[in-house]
Amino acid sequence: MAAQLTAQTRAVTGIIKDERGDPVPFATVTEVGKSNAVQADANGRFTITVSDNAMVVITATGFKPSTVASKDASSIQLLRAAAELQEVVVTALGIKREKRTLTYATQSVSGDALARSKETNLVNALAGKVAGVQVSNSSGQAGSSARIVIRGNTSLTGNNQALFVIDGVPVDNNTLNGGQQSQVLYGNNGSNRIIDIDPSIIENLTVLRGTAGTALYGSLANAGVILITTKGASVLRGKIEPRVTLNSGITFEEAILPEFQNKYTLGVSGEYRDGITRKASTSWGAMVDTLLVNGAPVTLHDPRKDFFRRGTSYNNTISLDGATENVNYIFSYSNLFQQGIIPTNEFDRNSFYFKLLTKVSNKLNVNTSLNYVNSKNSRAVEGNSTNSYLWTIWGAPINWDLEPPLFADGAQNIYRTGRTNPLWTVENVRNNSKVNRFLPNITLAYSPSNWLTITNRTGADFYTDNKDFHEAIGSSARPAGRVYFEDIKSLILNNDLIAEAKKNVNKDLFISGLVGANMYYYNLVDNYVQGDGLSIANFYDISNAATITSTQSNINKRKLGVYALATAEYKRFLSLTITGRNDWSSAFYPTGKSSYFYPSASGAFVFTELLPRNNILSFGKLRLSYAEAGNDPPAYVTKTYFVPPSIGDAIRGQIIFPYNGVNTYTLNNISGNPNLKPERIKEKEIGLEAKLFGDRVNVDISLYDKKSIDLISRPELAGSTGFVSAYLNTGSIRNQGVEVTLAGTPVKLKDFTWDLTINWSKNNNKVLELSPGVQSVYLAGFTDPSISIYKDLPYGVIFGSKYARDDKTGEMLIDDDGYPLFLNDQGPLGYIQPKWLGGLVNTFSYKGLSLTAVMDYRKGGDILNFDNWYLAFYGTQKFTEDRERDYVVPGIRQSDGKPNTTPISAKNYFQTVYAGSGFDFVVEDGTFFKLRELSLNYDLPSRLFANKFIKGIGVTASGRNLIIDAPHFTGADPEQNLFGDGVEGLVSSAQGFYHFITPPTRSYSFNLKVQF
Amino acid sequence: MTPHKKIFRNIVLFLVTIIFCTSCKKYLDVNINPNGPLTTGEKDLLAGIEAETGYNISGGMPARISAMWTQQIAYNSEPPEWDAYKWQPSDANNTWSFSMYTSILHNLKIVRETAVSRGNNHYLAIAEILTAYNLGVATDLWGDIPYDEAFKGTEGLQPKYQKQEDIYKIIFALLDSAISHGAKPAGHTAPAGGAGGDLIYGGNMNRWVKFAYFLKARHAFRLAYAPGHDKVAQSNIALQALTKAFTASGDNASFPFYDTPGTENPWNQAETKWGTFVLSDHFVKTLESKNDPRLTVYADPAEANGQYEGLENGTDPVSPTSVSHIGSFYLAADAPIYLGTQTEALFIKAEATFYTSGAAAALPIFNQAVKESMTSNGLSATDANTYLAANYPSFTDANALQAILYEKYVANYLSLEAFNDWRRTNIPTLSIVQNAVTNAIPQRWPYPSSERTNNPQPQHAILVTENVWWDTK
Repeated sequence: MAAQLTAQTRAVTGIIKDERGDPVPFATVTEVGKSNAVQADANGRFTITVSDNAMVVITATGFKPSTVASKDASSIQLLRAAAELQEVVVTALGIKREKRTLTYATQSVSGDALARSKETNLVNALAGKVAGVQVSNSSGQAGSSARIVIRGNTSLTGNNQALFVIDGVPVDNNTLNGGQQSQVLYGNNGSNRIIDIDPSIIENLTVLRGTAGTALYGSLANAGVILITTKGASVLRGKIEPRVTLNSGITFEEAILPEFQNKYTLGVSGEYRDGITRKASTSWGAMVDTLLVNGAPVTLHDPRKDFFRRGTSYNNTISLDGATENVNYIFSYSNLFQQGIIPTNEFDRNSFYFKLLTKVSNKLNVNTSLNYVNSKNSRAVEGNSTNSYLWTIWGAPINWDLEPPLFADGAQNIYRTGRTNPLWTVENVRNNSKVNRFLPNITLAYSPSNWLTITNRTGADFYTDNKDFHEAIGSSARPAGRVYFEDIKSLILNNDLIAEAKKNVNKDLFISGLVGANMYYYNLVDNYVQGDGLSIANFYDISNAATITSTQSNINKRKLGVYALATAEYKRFLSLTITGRNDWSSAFYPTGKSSYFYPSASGAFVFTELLPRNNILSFGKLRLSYAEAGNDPPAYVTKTYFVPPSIGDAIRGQIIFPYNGVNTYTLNNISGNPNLKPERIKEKEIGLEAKLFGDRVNVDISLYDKKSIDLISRPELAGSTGFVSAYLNTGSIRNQGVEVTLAGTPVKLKDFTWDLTINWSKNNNKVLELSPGVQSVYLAGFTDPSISIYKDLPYGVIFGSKYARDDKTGEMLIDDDGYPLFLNDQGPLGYIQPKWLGGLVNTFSYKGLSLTAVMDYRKGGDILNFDNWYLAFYGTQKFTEDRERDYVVPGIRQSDGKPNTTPISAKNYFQTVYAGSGFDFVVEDGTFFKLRELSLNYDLPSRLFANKFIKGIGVTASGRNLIIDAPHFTGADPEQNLFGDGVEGLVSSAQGFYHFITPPTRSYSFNLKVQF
Repeated sequence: MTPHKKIFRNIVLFLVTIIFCTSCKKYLDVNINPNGPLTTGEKDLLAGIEAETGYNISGGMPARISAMWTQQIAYNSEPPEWDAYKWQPSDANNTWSFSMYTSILHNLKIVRETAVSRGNNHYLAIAEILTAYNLGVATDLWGDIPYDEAFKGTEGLQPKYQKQEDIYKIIFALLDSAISHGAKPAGHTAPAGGAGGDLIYGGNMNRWVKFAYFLKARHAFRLAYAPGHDKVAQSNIALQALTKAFTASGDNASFPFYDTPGTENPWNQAETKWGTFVLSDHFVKTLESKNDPRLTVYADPAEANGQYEGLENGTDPVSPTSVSHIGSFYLAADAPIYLGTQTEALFIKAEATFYTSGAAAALPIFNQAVKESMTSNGLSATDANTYLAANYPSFTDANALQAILYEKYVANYLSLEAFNDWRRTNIPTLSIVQNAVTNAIPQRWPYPSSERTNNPQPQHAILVTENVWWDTK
């Protein structure tokens, strides 16, 4: 036979799967020794024409290459490369990228970890688990909001919180506080809307901290993105038997209280008062040890223990998931019923969820999902209002029984004047909210060829919130009573159309790119009606009100965007990504320039590819990126509108229109600005990732420098301009910092492993510029003290009246009577930004048993403990117990410069100095250590369930907030804040204001999971 | 073209269309607030402007400060307080930034422009008169103020200040223009009360024109001692204007208040919600020394002893029951606040006649002025005659001025004009109070904080104890 001059060829068709049986999409099949190569499709199928007896090499990112004879190529199994197991990361727009060559910082938390934390609000579940993220809580009431900020505050008046994206669609996380009340007086009564999302439907949550990773999401993502992927397989893998999972859990929670003194009764000047026949607001009464009333000692009570009850919540979830040949499905229903620690506080959430992934054809997959949530919340008023139960509970004396709320004659049972019994108050002054929310998502993925996929994702977030509030006749703040009803409708529609292409140019170079277009639609309708002066008691309907006022608002904001991304990867160790996005926003219309563009460029260099293989450093990557982002203004600020007037005179007088039947308008004294520019962020980041000691240790370090400029704020104008203030692009803020994540497995034995993750971050924030000539912007609080932003200081200054201090030494100046000098000075009293944050997650597993502990630590960050300004005066705080001695105020005498030695009585110290004209004493350092979560989980061995109806059983016992150790803070929890969260705005960014807020809770949960 | 290329081409075309399509502009052009009007008629703004003027200017802090610094009333709280001259730029800022330049003058500019565009001469006249009135109050308190460069928002962040002399020229020009517009037909829409927005005169143009003449007289007479002005010449201008001004107290310019929450008189609201204004010891003693029956209307007897007791300005507070509060005639929720009265017109006429024709000619007008003051306080002509006979047995060139201006001071109880006349003439004699934070009685208000921070001007260095331009005494 002659030498084969023309080799015989034949077509080989096959399918490539991984060891789990899932297809490996877009693998490359190359004929050995030739340049003949094809790419498999999204379902792992390929056809290649090779010469007879050829060998083929199959390569795919994340897998070990496999060489097989072409005749055995009909079904190929690839094994994952060990170091890269499960290292595919879901990034912006739902694109999966291999973490190996990713050019920006990400960190993931599993859905199970979130559900295990037993937090009702998803935001709280992230505390301590992700570097660079600061989570803070508002109130301990069920349904209260929480706040999440990544890499520091970047905006003055805009939202500083991260964007939540669920399955590629941005969702609403706004908090809408009901009514027109000021938050300092009434507390924050809204919930941030992520609270509707049940953690049990989450598969995975990834945090994209930097701007580079989020440039494709547009303005909403300027403060970082939290990407949530819901449960339900994203790849079709053939028939899977349906599986039912049941989760049932119960949680008990109790209040974590500050400490109170238990030695002195209600009264003044050492004299006992019973709170019924003789009232007082202070507990400077008699010592209980020696007191006899009518020959007997007084009965003591603990009003705090008597008032707060044990809270209980029940959490039940049932889900069904499985797959047919062409359809993956998951259905789930869950119910959370939470009764909080104060009477009448409840949060009730019902969540229905389904997701269907359907293979319509070899080229077309359709993914449909719908989440329907019904949330109901009932809350009591907090804050500085006389209707706030905290005022009377924290100030309550130890000789007063808070039961019954009303005496037989209908009079209030309360130990002081000007207030109502706290049990009566929480029953008769209440906020309610009922939310119905729909989150549908339809995604079509069409792959006409191996290298091209076209995806269209349409998502919506629609909810209605029916709020109502009532203040009964006889309430102390508004004895005539008040009622309001507010109906809110919020709709977000989002559509992304993306064309994505990828190609292995040759065996060393892989390129991919995408082009996309986005349409965004937002509408918020808010109708509010308020009735004052009620006639019939306990009847809360608008017809019962003497004076009715109402307002309407209708906010529209729409955006269009186009974006492109190009990535090149060389030999799997060098990669470069470039992105660009252009947005058009309605917020600049009708006259401004509505288009703004922002690019980014980033690179990654896996330098270990150039080093010889060694046992110490198996993987090392250097990341570099520069990214810009832009932000649009709020709606409707490009014009100045006429508004109803608000005529007051600074001494509490006012004129209300309609005036004797006459209506009027006035020009808004805040000027709109037709020439507003977009805000801009520029961020530089450098990062290092390494795997050491055979993958036992993972290190991830990021350094960033983020500058926001042209920030929109409303600085004060000279009154002669005809306006009090205007929207202007004048602010700028800088955030610089470092994030470190260290993860490892210190102990790895056959049956026992110990996994450890340490997170550490430090952010240096500085407000560079507010507006020419403006030194400060007030955020929230009282006029004095307040939380404000100051130029050249970190974001968030506690500002107010302070005692006089020596210029050189900073010590307080004391007069000859022993009292600190107060010269009407005002200045910074403290700074809210912490020095650094750290978190530690430990997991110990032995066979089916695992123990997880989540701890975190905050160093620094001042808190205005405004409760103490009252409680020191009232003499109920624990530190006022030591009152039989005199106190010496630390400082130097103004007259002769020597250290002050003049003693003053305890009562005078606490009532005149501590709770005095200056607020120096009530600012405390908020350093804390928390053991946030400790959970023990046991999964029964799977061999017990082989061929049984029940496929698995697991039990979990866990505790939450088991330890809170804040050595310098005398309140309940330094992470709490009266202002919680707020719609785009100044108030929500005002943290560090701890005042009359429901205390946090410590909880214990038990959960049973059964799989059928 | 292969199917793949065709698909790709179609995708690119679709995306390109998105980039350039004009329907995108329609999609995005939704940035107009459906709940906020962008244009208004004159009637829609006028009531609010008048309410601010009545409540916050004529009856607000300018009147309260005037009454304290001329020692008619005192501040019953730990000194130093407003009546010991502790009045800071941040205090002045409320009047300047929240009432005067924004709610009042800026909105009046819009009303004038709207009236011009619609040919509504009478609304235009009203707006010009109210502008002149408020501008007069502002320049009398602060001296040099901005006007021509003001009201430009972000287009003019630092308006320059004009000399008081020039502001006065603007005031006179506005009044003359108003008078001429008032003489023309109303135009498209005639002003009216109620929904027509004019709560001061209910659209009565005759009265508005009389008020315009009155303001001409008042301001022309203010310049009696001003540099480059002669008191006789100014008196003649004033007398001439007064012939066309108020003829009886029914012509008085006032803003009405009512006895329902949110519509009460500012002195009433200050008493019920702030509660620190009481009679000044200086005023009580002065009126008692002359057996002035108006004391019984100006003050209520002290609760503790049934006598008229005043608090000495700038001293420690006393129990509210041991001192006289402002009389219920002035504290009634529905007591109106006056912008200009027949009483003041008569006092101007008396003083002007004295300068032009001497004491003998001024005497009957003086008597008429005091009677008008008495009767407008609910007292009788007999009370007036008894009072005049007892206190002014002789009225000569030597003592006429003292008599006229003292009586005008008493007649202008709780009016901001009391401070103006005291500054101009130094009658009555006032001594600096205890615990004063300045070294002399202030002659003006400090410039407000929003101007100092955002629009620094050389005038900001002027001390509050320095006289304004027209005040040469």
